Amino acid sequence: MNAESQLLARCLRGEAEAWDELFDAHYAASGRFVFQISSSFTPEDVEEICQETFLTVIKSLQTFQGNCQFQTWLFRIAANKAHDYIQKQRAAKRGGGQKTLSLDAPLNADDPNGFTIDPPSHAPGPDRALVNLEDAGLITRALDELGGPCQEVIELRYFADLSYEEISAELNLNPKTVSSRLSKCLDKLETLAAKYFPAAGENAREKKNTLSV
Amino acid sequence: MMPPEGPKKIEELLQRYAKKRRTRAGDPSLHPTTRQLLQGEVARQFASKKKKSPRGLGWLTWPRRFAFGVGLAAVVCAGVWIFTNDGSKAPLQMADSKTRGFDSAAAPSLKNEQLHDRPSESFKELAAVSADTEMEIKRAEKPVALQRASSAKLEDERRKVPSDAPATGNRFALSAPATTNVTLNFFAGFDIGERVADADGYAVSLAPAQNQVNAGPANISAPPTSVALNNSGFLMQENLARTPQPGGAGALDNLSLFGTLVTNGTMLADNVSPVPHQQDPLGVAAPAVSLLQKDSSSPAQRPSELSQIARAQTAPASRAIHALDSQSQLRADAIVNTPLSAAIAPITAEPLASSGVAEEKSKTDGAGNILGRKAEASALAANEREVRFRRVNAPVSQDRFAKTVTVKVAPSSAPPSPVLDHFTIEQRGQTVHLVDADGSRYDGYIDAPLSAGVKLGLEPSRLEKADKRQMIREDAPGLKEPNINMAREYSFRASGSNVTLGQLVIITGKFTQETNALLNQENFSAARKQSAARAAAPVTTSGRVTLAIETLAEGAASTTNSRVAVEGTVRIGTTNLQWFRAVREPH
Repeated sequence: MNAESQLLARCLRGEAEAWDELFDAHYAASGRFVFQISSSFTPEDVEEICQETFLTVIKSLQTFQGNCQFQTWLFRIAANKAHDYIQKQRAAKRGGGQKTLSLDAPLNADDPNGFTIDPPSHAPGPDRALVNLEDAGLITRALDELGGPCQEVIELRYFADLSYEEISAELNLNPKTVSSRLSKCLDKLETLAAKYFPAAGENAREKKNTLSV
Repeated sequence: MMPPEGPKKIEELLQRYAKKRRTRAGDPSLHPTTRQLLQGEVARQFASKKKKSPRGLGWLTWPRRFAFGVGLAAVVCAGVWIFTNDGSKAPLQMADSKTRGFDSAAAPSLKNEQLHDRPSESFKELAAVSADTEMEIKRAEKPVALQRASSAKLEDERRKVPSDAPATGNRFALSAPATTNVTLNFFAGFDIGERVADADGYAVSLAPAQNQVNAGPANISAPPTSVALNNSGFLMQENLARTPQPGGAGALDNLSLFGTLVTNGTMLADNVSPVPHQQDPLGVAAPAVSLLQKDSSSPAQRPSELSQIARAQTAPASRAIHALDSQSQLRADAIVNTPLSAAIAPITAEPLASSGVAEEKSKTDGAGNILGRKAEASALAANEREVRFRRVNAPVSQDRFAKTVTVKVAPSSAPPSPVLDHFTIEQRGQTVHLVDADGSRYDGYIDAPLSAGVKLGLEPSRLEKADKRQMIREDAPGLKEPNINMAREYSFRASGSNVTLGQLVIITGKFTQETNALLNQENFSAARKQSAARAAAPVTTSGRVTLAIETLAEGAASTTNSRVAVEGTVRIGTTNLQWFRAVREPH
C-alpha cells in the first residue's frame, strides 16, 4: 500500500489531518487545471470550482476504486465542475432569472447628487480581454464547440498533462484507443479552429490538399 | 509520396495555451475559509457515518450480546433450581427409586469383609428357604459360630477401623447400592459408614451425615435423635437411643435401635434393636426388652417365618448394624463398641450351644404365628453377647377415606386438584399405601409418633431438619389439634405419581382420631388388643414375608371402630402444596 492509499484510507476514517494533507497536495494542481479549461475563468472562479470539486470528493471518496491515480480522478471531477460552472455562467448571462439593475439609474431617487451604482466586475480587464481575444479565447471557444469526449480527452492530455496510460485508466480505454481518439479529436479541433486561427487553418487546408492529391 | 506527419499546429497551440494559463494561474492556495468549510463537511460527513456503525464491523458487538445472553440464562437457571429445590429432595429421591425399582441382580454382591467375613454359603442356605414353606433355620447361627470361631479374624477386622476415630465415635454401617443417594440425619457422636449386603445381593448403604460425625466424648450424653433415611428403592427410619454408662459419661454402653427398613413396599427389617443391659433412663429401650420378654414367654414359634436375628457383639471401636434380607429371612446384626453388660443375659435366656453353632428354635403360638426364636450358643467370648429380636407380623388394615377439606398452603395459581378426594389407605406394618380414586398409588411409611419423638428427647431443631413438613404442618393455621402431642397421632409420608395429573405427589399426613374416640379410652384399649391379636397373623406379599412390629396401627388405621381422620399436606408437582383433611368413610 503506497502513501496515497494510506492517505485515502485515513481520509475515509474521517481524520481531519489526512484531509488537510489531501487538500494541500492536490488543491494547487486542480486549481491550475481548472484555470486552463476556460480562458474566461478568474482565480475566484477557480476557487469556486475547486471548492465544489473537493466537496464532491469528500462525499464520494468511498466510491473511488483505485483504478487510476487519485489526481486523475480528481481532475475529471474538476473538469465536470468547471463545465457546469461555465454552463451556469452562460445561463446567468442569458438572464437566468436574476434581477437586472440599471447602471444608469440613480442609487437613491431622493438623492439630489444623483449617485449611481458602480458594482465591481469579475470580467477580465481590458488588457486581459485583449489577450484572451488573441489566442486563448479562441482555443477555448473551439474546444467548447468540439465538446463531448473529444474535449475531455484533449483537456486531460494537454491541460492536465496526463499520459496516455493515465487517461486510458481513467476512461477505461486501451492506451492505443486513447491515442487514436486523441488524434481524431485534434483533427476535429483543428478544423474548428481554422476559422479562428489562420495558421491552424492553413495546416488543415494543406493536409486536406495532400490527401486529395 | 506522403509527407511525414509533423506536430499538428493545433497541438502546438494547445500546449502554448496551457503553458500560458499555468503560468498565469500561479500557485493557487487553499483559502483558510475554504479549508474550514471543507473540514466542516468532512466532520459532518464522517461523523454521521460513525453513528451509522458500518455493517462490516457489526460483529464486534456480537460477543457482548452473547455474554449478556449467557449471563441472563445462568441467572434464570439458578433461580429455577433454587425454586424447585425447596426441601423436597428426599421425597423426590423416593419417587425416583420407584421408577428404578430394585434390581437384586444388579445390586452389589456381599463383600463385607471388614466386619462380616461370612461365607456366602450360609446366606445362600438361608435364601433357599421359601417363604411359603416352613422355614428351618438350621444354620442360622452359623455366622455366629463362624464369627466366634474366627475371633482372631474379628480382631483383625477391628484393627481395620480407623484408629483416629474417637473412643466414642461409633460406626454404624448399613450398606446399600452404590448408585443410590442417601439423605441421612444422624445424631451426634455416631458416624455412619457403609456396609453390608445380603445373600440376594441386596445392599443398603448409608452415607455419613456431614454435620454430625465424629462427635467427641463431650457429646456422648447428648440426646439421641431419630434417623430418617431415604434411599433408592427403600425407605428406612430408625430411632436410635443411647444411654450413658453409669460408670462414666464418656463411654457408651448401650444402643437401642429400632426402626423400619422398607424396600418397594416390603419391609425388610423392623424394630431391630439390641437389648439394653439396664433400665433405660429415657425409656427408649424398654420396648425392645418387652419384645424379647414376650418372645421368651411365648411358647409358639414357627421357624419358617422366623426372620430376624440380631446379634450384638462388643467391639472396641466400631459398631455395625446389618439388615439382611434373604427371601423370607432378615438378619440384623449389631456390633456395639462397648460391651453389653450382663443384663442382657436374662433376655438372651438360653446359652449358646457349646458347639459354637447356634441352633434355631422357633416357637409358634396357637395361631401359627412366629413370636420369636431363641438362639443357642455357648462359649461366647467374654466380650460377646447375643441379643435376639422378635418379629411380629404386621397387621394389614385398609380403610377408605374421603377428603373433606382442601386448603391451598403454598401460593399457587393452580386450582385445588382432585388428588385424595377419595382414597384408600392400606397399612402393612409401618408401610402405608394410598390408592387414590383414579388408581394412583402412593407408597410410603409411617413415621414415629410425634409424641414418641418428644419422649426420646429430640431437639426441636433436629426434628425440624428431620421432618420439615411436620413442622410446617404444625405451624400451618388450622392444622393444630388440641391432641397433637398425644401418642395416638402418627404421621406418615408417601409419594407416587398421579396417573391423572402425571405429576409427582408427595403426601405428608397424620392419623388423628376424632375427639369422641380419644375420650373413650377403654374402647381404644380394646381395639389395641384386637390389633395385637391380628398382628400375629403372617402377611405374605408376592411370596415374601412382610415383617412388622406392633405399630401405631392399633390406634390409628386399624379396623377399629374408632373414627379415624387423616390430615396433612399434599404437594403436587413442585409448587402446588395443599392441605387436606379426610375422614374415614363408613364401611
